[in-house]
Amino acid sequence: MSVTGVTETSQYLSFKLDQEIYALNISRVREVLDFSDITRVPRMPEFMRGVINLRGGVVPVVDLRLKFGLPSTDKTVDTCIIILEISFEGETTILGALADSVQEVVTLESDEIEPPPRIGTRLNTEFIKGMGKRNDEFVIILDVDRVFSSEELVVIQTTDDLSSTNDTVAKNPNEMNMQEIGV
Amino acid sequence: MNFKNLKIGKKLTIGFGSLVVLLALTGYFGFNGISTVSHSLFVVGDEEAPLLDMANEMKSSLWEAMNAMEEYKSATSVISTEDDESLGRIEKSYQKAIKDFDTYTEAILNGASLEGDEKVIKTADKKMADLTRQASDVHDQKFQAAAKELMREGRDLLKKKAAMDQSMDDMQGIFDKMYENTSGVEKMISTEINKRSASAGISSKARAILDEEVPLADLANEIKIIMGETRLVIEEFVQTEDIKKLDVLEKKYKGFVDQLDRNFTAILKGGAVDGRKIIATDNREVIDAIKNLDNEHEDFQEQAGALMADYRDILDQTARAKESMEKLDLSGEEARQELKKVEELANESMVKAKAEGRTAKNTAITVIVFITIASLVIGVILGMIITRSITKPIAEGVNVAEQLSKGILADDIDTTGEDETGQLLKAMDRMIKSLKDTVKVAERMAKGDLNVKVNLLSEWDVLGLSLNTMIEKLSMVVFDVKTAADNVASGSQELSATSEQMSQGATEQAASAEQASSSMEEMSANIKQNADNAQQTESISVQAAEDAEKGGKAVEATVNAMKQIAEKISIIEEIARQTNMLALNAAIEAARAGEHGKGFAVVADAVRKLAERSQNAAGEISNLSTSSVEIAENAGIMLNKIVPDIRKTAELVQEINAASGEQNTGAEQINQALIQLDQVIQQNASASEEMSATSEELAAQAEQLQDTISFFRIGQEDRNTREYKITDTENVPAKKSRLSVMEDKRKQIADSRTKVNTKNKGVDIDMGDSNPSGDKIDEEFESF
Repeated sequence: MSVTGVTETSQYLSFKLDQEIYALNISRVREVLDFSDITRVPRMPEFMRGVINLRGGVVPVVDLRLKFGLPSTDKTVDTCIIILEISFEGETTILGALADSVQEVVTLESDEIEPPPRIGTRLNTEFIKGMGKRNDEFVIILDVDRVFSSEELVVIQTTDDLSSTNDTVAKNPNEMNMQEIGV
Repeated sequence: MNFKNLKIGKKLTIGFGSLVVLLALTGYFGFNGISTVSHSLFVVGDEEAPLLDMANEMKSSLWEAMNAMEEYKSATSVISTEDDESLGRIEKSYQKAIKDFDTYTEAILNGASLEGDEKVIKTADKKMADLTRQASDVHDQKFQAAAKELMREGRDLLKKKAAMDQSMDDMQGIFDKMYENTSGVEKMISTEINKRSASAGISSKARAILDEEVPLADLANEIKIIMGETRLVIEEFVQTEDIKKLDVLEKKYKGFVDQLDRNFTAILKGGAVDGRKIIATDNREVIDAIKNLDNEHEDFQEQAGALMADYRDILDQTARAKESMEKLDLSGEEARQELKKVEELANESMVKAKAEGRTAKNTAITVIVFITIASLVIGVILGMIITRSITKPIAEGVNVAEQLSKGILADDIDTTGEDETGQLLKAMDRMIKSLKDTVKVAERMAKGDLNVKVNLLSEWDVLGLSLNTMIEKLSMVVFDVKTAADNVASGSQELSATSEQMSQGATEQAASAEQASSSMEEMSANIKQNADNAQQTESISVQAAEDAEKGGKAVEATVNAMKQIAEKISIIEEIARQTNMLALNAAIEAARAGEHGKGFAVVADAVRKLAERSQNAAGEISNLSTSSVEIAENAGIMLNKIVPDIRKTAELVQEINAASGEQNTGAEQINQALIQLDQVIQQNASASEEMSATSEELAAQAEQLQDTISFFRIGQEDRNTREYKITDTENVPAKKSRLSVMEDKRKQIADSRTKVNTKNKGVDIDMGDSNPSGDKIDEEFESF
């Protein structure tokens, strides 16, 4: 059984988030960096850890764990920042994603990829491209654009409405600011 | 019973008793006399004198009262002019006198203490009390009643006097008026004369005047004179106290009144008066005046009559007062008589008390003088008799005691007396006799006979008891000495046997000591060997401790090295990780290059795999080095623990070494001691031989002691218990030497001992006569 859109052989960069292995299409990955100091920027949502200096350019960094409703990333030796290229509203934006560790560049055939399950994970399956099988392990292949596109963000936020405080921030940043100032 | 044979106590009692009786008699009479005199003094001074005083006082009070009454009477008499006030004063003094009288009466009857600290004791004499009471009664009833009456009458008199005075005054008023009227009449008549003389002619008229008017004028004048005389008579009447004279005066008065009436009538109607012819007047005025005068004269007469009657009344009253006064005097006299009797009675008591006191004093003095002389005589005689009866036998007793103190036991003591001294002499006689008995016993004891006994005089006979105890104790001592001498004899034989045994033992000891000495030498060699070994062990263990310490340091160095290795490996790990990262980026770069980068992708993958491997290897090395460090550290700790143990071992070994050295010196000392012991044993052997000789000498001395002590002969029972010994010594032939006797005895004892030994279970060592060589050296010793 194969998935539409994943017909051809492609290469993926696999990484770990909280014991689970995820993968991203290599075409969207620009490079992998060691975790370095992140400059926190005010008035940013919680999952935005801040910005880093990438060869003179300012790149925002997103904590994927927070994005996926997991506890925030602790810094280890293996913690690294994956620099991604995201097409956002017709433009290509560069974005850093925090991962517990980067594993390797894998090549997955289309038959090795299963469609995403309807239920079973905590994530909304719309931003999962498929489940790749590798050495009897599942690799969750993420759709980068969906994960990070604004629409997707809204969708994600609505799904997380009851459990997270981030949504209120997303909906009404001013209100959030007010609260922060209040606190 | 003879006085001489009375006890001394009784003699003294008789003597002192008679003196005490006489003294008591003297005391009794003296006391009696003094108490009687003091009673008399009391009667005279305290009882009767105040009574007398009181009676006197009562009398004087009575006098005072009477005086007061006299005064009163005179105050109220006819001619007196005293007023109410002075009467009140007199009455007051009278009342005081009455009160005083009552007070003194009370004092005599019931006793009292008056002002001025005067104490009156109630009279004990009934007669006196009766008299006093009578006087009081007279005073209360008669005297006071009379006084009261007197006073009342006095008061009446005064009142009447006042009334009379009033009457007098009234009368004087009428008199004055009459006198004036008469003067008026006279004037009228003279006016008439003048008128007539003026109007009439000198001859006839003058004649008429001379006949008519002149007598009239004379009459009027006469009336005036009569009136004055009447007044004078009345005045005289009032001043007179004599009743007879009063009558005369009253007649005179009446004469004057008649004359006056005649004159009046003559004037009015005419007539002859004293030989003169009076022609009645026709003058209307004169007639009216005369009539008026006559009326007034009637009033005057009336008033004068009343006055005179009053005066007579007053005189009566005065007479009555006088009577009362006489009555008062009488009753006062009566009371005074009673009081005089009281006084006499008190005086009599006093005289009687004085006489009694004098008599008692004389009697007491006589009796006391007599008894004192009697006591002196009796005392001297009794004293001489008693002294003589006591001193004579005591002198004899003293003589006997004197002899006794010199040790002379006199035989001739006079013991005839029955009193205490006689008893004393008898007791001394008995004492001398018992002393003689005791002396006999002592003489027997001196001869060595201890089988005697003193007869005890009583259970408190200390000398007898002590002598008996001495005999007993001496017997015991002699017995003990005899027993001891026997014991010494047998003991000295045993001693000689023992000393022989000792000498034999000493020889054996010498051999044993030699053996011990050689053993000790061997032992000391062993000890020396031990000491050497210990020393070597010690040096080895010290070396081991040092080595162990060094090993510990080496382990420490190893640990440090390992730690450095681990650090270095982490660098390698870091490099591998970065290499991995680089390879990954290269792979990403290759993949993005697509087909063109495929070859590069392979290389990158290979690099990445290498990096991964080197990473894994570095991790393993790191783990290994960590565990090695732990192990090396443990080894170091163990080595550190070992070091003190080894040190302890070295110390212990050192101690062993020291102990071995001490053992060595100890062994040497033992060796030395053994040598000394050997010498001592030799000395012991010779000493025991000497002892055996000494014990023989001792046996001989004991025998001599037995001979000496046999001088005392003691009780039969003691003799029986030790008969065998005495006979034993007696039976020994004189020729036999002391030594051979000893030997015999020793054999005896030895036999008994061997018998005992055969009875005993255990080893029977024969050290006795079975000596085959038959030497006689041990013959002196006893075998056990």
